[in-house]
Amino acid sequence: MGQGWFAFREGIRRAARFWQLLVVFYGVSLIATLPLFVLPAFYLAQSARRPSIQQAADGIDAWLVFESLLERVRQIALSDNVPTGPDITGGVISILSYGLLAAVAAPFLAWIGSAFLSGGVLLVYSEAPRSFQWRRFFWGCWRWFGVFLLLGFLQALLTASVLVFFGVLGILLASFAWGLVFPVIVLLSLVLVFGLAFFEMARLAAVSGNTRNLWQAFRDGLRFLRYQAKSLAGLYLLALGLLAAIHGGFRLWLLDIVPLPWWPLALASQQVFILLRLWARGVRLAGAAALRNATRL
Amino acid sequence: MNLSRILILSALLLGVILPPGTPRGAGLPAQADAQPRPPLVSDYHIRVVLDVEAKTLEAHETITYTNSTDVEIPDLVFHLYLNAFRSADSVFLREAGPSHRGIPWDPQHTGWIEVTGIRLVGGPPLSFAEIEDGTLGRAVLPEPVPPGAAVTVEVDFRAQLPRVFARTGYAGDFFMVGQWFPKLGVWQAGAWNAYPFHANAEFYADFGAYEVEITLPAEYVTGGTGMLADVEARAGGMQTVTYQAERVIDFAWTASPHFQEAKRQVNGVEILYLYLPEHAWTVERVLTAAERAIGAYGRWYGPYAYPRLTIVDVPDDGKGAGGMEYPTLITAGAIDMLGLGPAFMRLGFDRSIELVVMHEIGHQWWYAMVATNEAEEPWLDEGFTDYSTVRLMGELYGAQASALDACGLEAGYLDLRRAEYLANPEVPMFGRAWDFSMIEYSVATYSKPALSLATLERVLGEEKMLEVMATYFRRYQYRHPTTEDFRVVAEEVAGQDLAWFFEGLVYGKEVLNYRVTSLGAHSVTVARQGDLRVPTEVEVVFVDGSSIREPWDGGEAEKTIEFPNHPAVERAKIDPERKILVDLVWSDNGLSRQRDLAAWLALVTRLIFRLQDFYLIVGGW
Repeated sequence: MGQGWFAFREGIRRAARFWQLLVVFYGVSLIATLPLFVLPAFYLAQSARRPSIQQAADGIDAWLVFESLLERVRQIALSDNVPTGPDITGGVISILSYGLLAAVAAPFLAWIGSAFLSGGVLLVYSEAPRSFQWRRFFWGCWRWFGVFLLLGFLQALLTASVLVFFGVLGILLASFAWGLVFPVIVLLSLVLVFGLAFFEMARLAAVSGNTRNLWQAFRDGLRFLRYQAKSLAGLYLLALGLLAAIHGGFRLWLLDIVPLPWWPLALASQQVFILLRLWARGVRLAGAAALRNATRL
Repeated sequence: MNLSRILILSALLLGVILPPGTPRGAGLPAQADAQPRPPLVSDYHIRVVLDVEAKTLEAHETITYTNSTDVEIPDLVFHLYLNAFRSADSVFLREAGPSHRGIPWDPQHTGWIEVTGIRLVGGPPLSFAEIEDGTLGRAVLPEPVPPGAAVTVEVDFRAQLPRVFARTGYAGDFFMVGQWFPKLGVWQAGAWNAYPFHANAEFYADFGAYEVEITLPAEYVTGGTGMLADVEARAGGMQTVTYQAERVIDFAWTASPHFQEAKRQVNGVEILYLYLPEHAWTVERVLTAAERAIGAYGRWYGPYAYPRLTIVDVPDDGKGAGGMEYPTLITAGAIDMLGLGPAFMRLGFDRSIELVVMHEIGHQWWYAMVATNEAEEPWLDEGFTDYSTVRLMGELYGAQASALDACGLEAGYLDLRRAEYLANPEVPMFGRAWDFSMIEYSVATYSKPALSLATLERVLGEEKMLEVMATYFRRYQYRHPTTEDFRVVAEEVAGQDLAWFFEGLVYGKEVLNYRVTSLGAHSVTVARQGDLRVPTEVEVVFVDGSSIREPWDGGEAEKTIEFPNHPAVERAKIDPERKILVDLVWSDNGLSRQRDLAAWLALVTRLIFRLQDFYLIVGGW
């Protein structure tokens, strides 16, 4: 655990030092989502004279969703094909439509973005205290892009399979005894954390060992996991605990006390939350890189 | 509920918060409208033996029928409901498809009923024949029954219970026995009011007294309409349980060796919950929901007239028996109405349990004590009950989260009913059950009446509406009122013409959308789409902050209201308190001169964050 604490501290230090990576992470998250909200925002602007937009701003009401979804039926019933005046239901429909589009597109975009950035990010953390160089960073992004695309695909496939397996198991057990569901949830959490650590160490092994051989990366990553199990457990406990605290603090506290109509404050707090999450991931990766450097495997 | 499931899943994309719910019930009006109790018409004494292996009934019933009309009655017409499940040729199965509430009919485990003998007490056998598709039978009397006279007949019958289907039957060693005996129709307007058993239709019978002796294995725990009067041990490990009930329109019973009992006393009424061990987690929720329902409905309409209410839990493989009402007995259980799965229900996010219990108990007022014709005018019992359920769920859990409340994801029962109505608004409420398609039936009998009665409440005011309902209840308790009877009471108590409600919504298919279409410097233009006209008001706010409310009866399709002696108009809203729940679109009820940029920015901010959040989650960040 002592090494775990060292890795966590070093992770915080490296993540703070290489702030450029945080900017890149954040920029990519904005660019990936920007196209999906521009059109809905435009539709809504046209109907901002309807007072019901205020209710939507407070939290979109179920009745507004239903009205929007059933707009066509309403038009038929009223024998009205052309609504008169500004109409908010069109904006809500576009939000829902783009929401569904986001549900399909976001995993794909996240996979591409993560695969591209991971090589450069891990290279920068691994070569610390060497100063940040954009050229070196992008070189690292490009070098491992292909193999990390494949690795990301495998990780998604395995994660989905685990979730389905445990989901079915949970449902079956729930029909016998509700109390058995909770151990299943605990076991699922441990499996997911192990899976996360395994794939992140595989990526780190690829970069540290300067290899693009997937199997060698898996082997080295697994070996690192095995020989530094306690230290990594300590690092992940602290790093994921930090992430959980960030989520908890925002979702359970800040979200309730910042009213949504105070949009500048809401926007600022939301974006700070996004940044902190990205930083927490950086802490975890940087800490693992520092640990690997220190143990010289 | 497939539509509700789709709509709920759509709403799960975003957080939802809803406007405030309805005001609390104000209590009964001071002046009661007590009516003398009408005489009982049909008394039944039934002895039945249940064969738990063969799932059959062997029974003998003695019926005393009193002709309370002023014409002679030449014959007796009985309902033989179980014959609807005898073959796929029945009216019920041809209309249903053959499935009921998503549960298929099992042709290997059918149901039927056969009258093996019928005779006058102390007299000759009667000629008896099945008519229509066999779900009706007629016995010709040797002499007509004169007005005021009574006739007593004995009927021997046997029945095969189906694998649970359309509310009745068995699932393993669980039995829910409803519509199981030859039951007389209702003589009205010179003829028997008795139809073949249609898929959409429910039931209609006269008030009477019941005494039912059920013989079955001793290890079975039973429940039934009325009160348990006697338990007698029999030879061979059997027992005979006797139930008695006064002034009820039907008798149903249940049996299972696995039932456990939980009880609670409410206002002098004993609530008895017969539950299965695997559903022990529902006990507290069911009893609390029942307690609240009996208390609230009693306060609003009139006291529950019987000493006991029995609630029957149904097994997971017998859900077709759940969600049904009988006099003093309802079936509930862990029924997932919203389709979100048992986990949501168990964690308390999904209030299906409370919803079903409160709805079925509502039927004790609108079906059991005020016994309308469920076949010809189904909206009168289902609609009144659903309106009562919407009201009570909103009062207890808040209008925005009465059906679903899961960590910020909320949906009210009223919203779900409104969504169903919006999907199919051009359906009258009045009509025979079988004249509607399955989807139309749900709108006509549940969602549209619930919304319409709630709209009527908002227009008349809560106190006046409760007075209407309580007067109607007291005037027609133990009677068979019709839509026109309700209309007379409503207009009498409200003191106004309610043609918009009855002609527009009950009998008509009219729809309505009110909207503010434009603002002038000193004028507001409002419009009505659709032919329904509901009196409302237009609230106008001027630039100096003052406001005014103008009444509008919705007569014109478009109207411009001028305010020459006021400052410039800043914004206007029609139906500002959202009283008109049948208005198809609420989002166009208001209009401002300026765009609300702050609200727009707040909404866009929220949207950006949700997208980023989702992106990071699926990216493993």
